[in-house]
Amino acid sequence: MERQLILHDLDPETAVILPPQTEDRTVFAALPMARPCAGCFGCWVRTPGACVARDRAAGFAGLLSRHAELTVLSRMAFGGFSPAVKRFIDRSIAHVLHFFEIRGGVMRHAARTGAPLKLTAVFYGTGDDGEAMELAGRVVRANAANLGATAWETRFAAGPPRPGILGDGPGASSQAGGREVPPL
Amino acid sequence: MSVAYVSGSPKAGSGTSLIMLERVRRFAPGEIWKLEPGRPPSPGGWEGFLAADAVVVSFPLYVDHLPAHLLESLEEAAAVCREARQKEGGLRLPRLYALINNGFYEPEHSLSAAGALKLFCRDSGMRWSGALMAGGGPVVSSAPALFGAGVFPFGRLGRALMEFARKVSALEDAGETGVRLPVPRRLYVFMANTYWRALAWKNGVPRKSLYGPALPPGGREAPREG
Repeated sequence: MERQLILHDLDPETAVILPPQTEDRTVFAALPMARPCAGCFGCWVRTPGACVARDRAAGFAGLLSRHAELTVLSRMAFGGFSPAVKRFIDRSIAHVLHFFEIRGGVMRHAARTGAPLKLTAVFYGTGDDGEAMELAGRVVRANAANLGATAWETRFAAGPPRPGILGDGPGASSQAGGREVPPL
Repeated sequence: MSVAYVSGSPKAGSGTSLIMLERVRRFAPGEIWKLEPGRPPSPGGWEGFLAADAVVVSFPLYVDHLPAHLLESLEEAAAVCREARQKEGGLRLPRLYALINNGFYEPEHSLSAAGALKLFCRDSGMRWSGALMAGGGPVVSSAPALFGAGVFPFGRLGRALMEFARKVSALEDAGETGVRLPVPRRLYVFMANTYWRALAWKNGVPRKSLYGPALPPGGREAPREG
């Protein structure tokens, strides 16, 4: 199992700032954009584990399942991921099962595998938009709970993407959490 | 008073989002608009769309936020609104209402999507006017006749939609209201899991296959991209 999957929405010229792909690390570009999710649930009840639409996003859930850590680098969009990144996130729901369970008194999707996953989200271009950052923190925490992630972290970079943005750089604030299910 | 209705569901056919939208539209008449990324709203373009007194958007929660295509459309809308406000300082933009459904029992999962729409309103200048959030969304589309009749288990949701429609008609703030199905959580989980099994059986998928690892089509190794 590879260690880290990086999903990013940088154009090819900017993406050179990212760490290189290795045997242990996969770097996956959200551009060009994939088709949006059609809401058919085929990835659960028709071709379990894979999206029925055949494009770059079709196997993303399978790719995610082979990594112990998902790092998402994204422009902030209304307190969440950018549309390009979100298309892949939407089409990766086959990473979890369609079956439900109750965890922490709240309904969640059941995990497809027992493998641990850490979710790290790095938002860039946030400026000092506290409201958006607060919402993004909640969204990532909820995503982690639904993915069955064992740990999650949200970081913000006020300016555009720069070398080292995926590490702890100056001005990057961080929220972190464990496996606890966030209150609604 | 003019209301523009938008279905933010990616489904081509009639799902829960459209059913809920049509119910509100029955009591607060208005026109159905299509909002797609990269295109002006139809039928009347941006000028017609932004001239409405209210916009009601109905959509399913997608991974704790807006569906990607709707997110993209709203980013475009925000840019158009900002430009319009720069040209005409006193421009009055529509109120925005939302109907959000999700497949979990708890409607509160949709609060993050409502938060996203509030940020859209802050950025665009539209006035956030509230949301009705429904848990157990798929039950609506699986029993549309019962929903239409307003009988159990849809009485509560039906009444909430009527009140929501009244607020839209009166251009009043609707607040953020959540509606749960009037059944115990554990029963809903059982119903939902039974529904999934039935759907898989209908599609000829063996039960054991449902639990397998996530794979790309054809079971090939997923491509790693550099």
